[in-house]
Amino acid sequence: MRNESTKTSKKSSKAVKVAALAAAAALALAGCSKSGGDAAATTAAAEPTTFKVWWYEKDTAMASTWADALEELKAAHPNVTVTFELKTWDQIQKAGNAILDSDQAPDLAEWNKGNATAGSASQAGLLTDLTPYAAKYGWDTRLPESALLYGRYTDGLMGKGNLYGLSTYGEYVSWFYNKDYFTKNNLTVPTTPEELDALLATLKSQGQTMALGGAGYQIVHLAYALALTNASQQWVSDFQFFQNPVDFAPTSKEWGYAAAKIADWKKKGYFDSKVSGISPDDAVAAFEAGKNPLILGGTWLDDGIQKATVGFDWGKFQNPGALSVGSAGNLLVIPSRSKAPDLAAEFIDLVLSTKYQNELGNSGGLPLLADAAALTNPVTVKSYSVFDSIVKNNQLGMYPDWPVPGYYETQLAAGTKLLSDGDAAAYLKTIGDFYEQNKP
Amino acid sequence: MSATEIASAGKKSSHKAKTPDTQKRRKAKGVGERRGQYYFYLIPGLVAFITVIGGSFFYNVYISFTKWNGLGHPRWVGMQNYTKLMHDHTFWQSFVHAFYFIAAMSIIPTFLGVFLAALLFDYVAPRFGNKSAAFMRAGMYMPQIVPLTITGILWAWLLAPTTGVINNFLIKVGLDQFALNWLGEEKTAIFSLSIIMVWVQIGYTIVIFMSGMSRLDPSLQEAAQIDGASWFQRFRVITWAQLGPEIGVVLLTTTVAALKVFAPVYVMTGGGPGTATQVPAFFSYFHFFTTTKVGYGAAVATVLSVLLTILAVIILNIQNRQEQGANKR
Amino acid sequence: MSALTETPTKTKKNKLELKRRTAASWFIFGALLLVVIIWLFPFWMAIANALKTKEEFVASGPLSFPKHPYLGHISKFWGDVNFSRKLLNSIIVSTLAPLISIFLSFFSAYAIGIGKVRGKTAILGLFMIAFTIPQEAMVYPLYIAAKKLGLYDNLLSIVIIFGVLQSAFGTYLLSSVLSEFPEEILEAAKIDGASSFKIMRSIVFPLLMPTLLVLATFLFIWDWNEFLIPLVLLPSNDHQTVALSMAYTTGQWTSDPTARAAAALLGATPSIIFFFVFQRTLMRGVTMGSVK
Repeated sequence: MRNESTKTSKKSSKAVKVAALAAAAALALAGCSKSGGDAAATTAAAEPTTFKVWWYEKDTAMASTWADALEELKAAHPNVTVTFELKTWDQIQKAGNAILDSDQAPDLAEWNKGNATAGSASQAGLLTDLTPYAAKYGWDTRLPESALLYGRYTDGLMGKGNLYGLSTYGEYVSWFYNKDYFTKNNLTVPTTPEELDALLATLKSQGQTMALGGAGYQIVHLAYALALTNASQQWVSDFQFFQNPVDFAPTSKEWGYAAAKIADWKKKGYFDSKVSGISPDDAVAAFEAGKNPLILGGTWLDDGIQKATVGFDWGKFQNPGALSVGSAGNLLVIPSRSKAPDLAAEFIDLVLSTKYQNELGNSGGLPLLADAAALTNPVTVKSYSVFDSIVKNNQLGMYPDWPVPGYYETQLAAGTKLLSDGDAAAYLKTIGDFYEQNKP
Repeated sequence: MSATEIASAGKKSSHKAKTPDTQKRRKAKGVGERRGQYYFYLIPGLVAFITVIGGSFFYNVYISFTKWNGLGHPRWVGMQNYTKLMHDHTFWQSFVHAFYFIAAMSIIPTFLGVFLAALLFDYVAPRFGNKSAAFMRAGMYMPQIVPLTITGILWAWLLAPTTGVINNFLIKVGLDQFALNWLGEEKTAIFSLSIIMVWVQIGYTIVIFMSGMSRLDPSLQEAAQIDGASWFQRFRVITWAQLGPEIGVVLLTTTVAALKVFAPVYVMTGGGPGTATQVPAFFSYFHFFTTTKVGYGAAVATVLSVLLTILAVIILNIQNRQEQGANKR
Repeated sequence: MSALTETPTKTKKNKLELKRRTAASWFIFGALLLVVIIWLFPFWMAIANALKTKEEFVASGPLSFPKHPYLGHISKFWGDVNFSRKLLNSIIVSTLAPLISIFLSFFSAYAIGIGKVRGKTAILGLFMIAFTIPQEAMVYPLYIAAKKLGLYDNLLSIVIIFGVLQSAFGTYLLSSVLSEFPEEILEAAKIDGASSFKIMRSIVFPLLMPTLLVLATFLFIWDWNEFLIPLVLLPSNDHQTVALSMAYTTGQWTSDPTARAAAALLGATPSIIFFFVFQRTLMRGVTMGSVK
């Protein structure tokens, strides 16, 4: 379920890309890789005795890197008992605020971005304002605003204001393809929506389909990826930050296009006939086993696909269109009830150090402040080539469920239904009504 | 199983609890004079019950009249949540789906259960021994014992469209056209969940009915047999008719359980595709903890409580009347 | 009383002399056996696939039985979810909550069944509400209260809540049992000048013991299987119960079909073992206090 969070996004490892992210490009780069650093050692004035950490990364580059950083933290503070607990994305999504508002709140946690989660928690005063720490450690200068904005909230709305959480990596959604299959069949990577359609038609004629977990998060991402095909950054701001009304009509070139496209693909048989019942896990497994030559997925799949895929070479390409699904990664937050906020900040800084940013990149993650030259992991390199272009062109379009609480579940249920009955109008009505009824 | 059996047993005993009334008339004298002191023994149970259950329920009713996201203070909005509820298509739909569950958890298991229990009790047992019948009963009871979350995980796995056991089996034996997209299509999802609940429930009804049959007077059966009645005739005329009280108990308890269904939906479909498997309990949970419209979720839960209570009273009354009728005869 | 302890065995003779088996009766027997096999098939499949390697699953599909049973998935899942801890939590809840239930319901039932207090029908009706109110209509206030009292994410809250919730059922059951308590015994004790408390402690309680044990067995299972309230009140992994932890498994620990089978199998096993051990008690209990 953690995967569902896909929403996380990341900036690429290279400083360059990061910069690109932010419209205000260049600034960040230089500072990034250098300064930060291994600021692990801190003073131990009135040290807390326990340190409780939660995250829900599992089998990802973040999980292993953060675990290593936590070890270093332990070593630096031998008198602190560190307890770590692996949560699920689902748990944070559904019961996150409840936990923060209790004695059981952790001292440091990975948290979901967006108005529905970090937003409402910050509004309720459940998260520590990190602005002073950002100044102290220089996070606000080392990271570009495009990476910081996911942690900024005003009245529970993301984008500006105090800093309540920090992204320490990036992620995005793109296509994974079976290179061997493409080569063998003389297929080329599509660069326009039309070419993508043609590719799917060709696959169909060869008795192939894309893999898609229609019963889980993957349909939510596919729909948004298609909605972003013709979207502008202004539209993203309208949709995510309610700057202007969003059109959900069948004629709209964002959501209307997405719904029509999925209905059309379904009609033409570009999906497995039972796509709406297939779980994302099974879809990924099918791609890894070479059964389907194509799957739309997030960078959180990189590592797993690299390890599980044997017998063929795979590659990635950006979804053709204006923007891509993606953003800076999940936030690290310090709950207001944290008993060790200083230690938590120290850990965040450790994670942002070049040492661990490099490690993150070399474990297959997308770091924000890595030394580009130090990255050697082939998976990271694969992911970079795509992320590079997304970031350079300011094409990150965030994730579709952030605007209002319950939107993820609503889009999932509606998307699964769309895959099963092909009723684009009903889909648009469901997701449009929910948006309108719940927006602030 | 929990809800079902709790309720079932409760109903059963409540039925029984009426007998003290009649007994009282006979025996009350002996204890009467010192009865007052017994009220003392009610204190722990009633205090705990009123605090935990009563307090929660009435606080929930209060929340249902407010607008609240669970943080800060609830804001009183009067009937607003209920007015909205009346116009919420999904809410009404969730009750329509509840009827599928009533069919799957109550009506079908009752009919099938009586039939299977009768076969086991007075067909299999007399010919193949009690052990055979007890073994079969235990086999069919097994799904009752497992937590519903695990039942959900197990069946979602069995029904997976491409990797699942069921479809692999169907394709293997050449029934490809029946290898459906069980949980992925609107039309089949509620149907699939219903089948699963029949699988879960049937053991409960069989056990209750078999025990009911053991209290029936065997001489009736024997007399009918001598008169040349076939097994099926005897089943219809004697067994079915005499099991009235058990059937009432089972219908009541399983219907209440069906309207409360939550875990299988939570684990298997999340209410989808679309709203195809949305049920009242899950709908309420969704608003409590996902959209954090706590007041709205509380309103759904309150409506469900009231409906369940009314329904229970109606079923109990019908049953009492039937029993009284039967007794007069 | 006797009604409760007696086993609903069938009447008479079957054991001694079986009726003749005809071709038709063999057919019906076979058909029923088939039904039972179908009923157990899902469990069988969980076993077969939990013991398969991923490679064997891919090669031979889900239907075959593994050539060399492989315990890797089960032991990995056990370790990953810290299953020992979940088992311990479930056992704590399912042991302590029934104790509370039995304590509360025994007292209430004593007043109703033996004391025959006025208004007992109304009191029982009040307890009846516990069956009709769905847990959804209590869960949010319980969640708020637990937080206020510092019992959030604490097994104690679950123990108390289910202790009270299930006491309603216990009250019903025990009241109906005690209302049939032999009057002569009570009268004899009263003539000896025993107080109502003494009668309860030294006469009624011991005689009711078998019934209480059956009740405890049932409450154990119900508390074991509870889902919604623990889901809301127990966020930490270390405090989750077996039934609850299963809801979190999908996608977290189990990305391939064999691992999912292992999760389902492991989750179901404690209940199945319990079922085999207490089968007789359970079968008696389901029908206990049943309609006469």
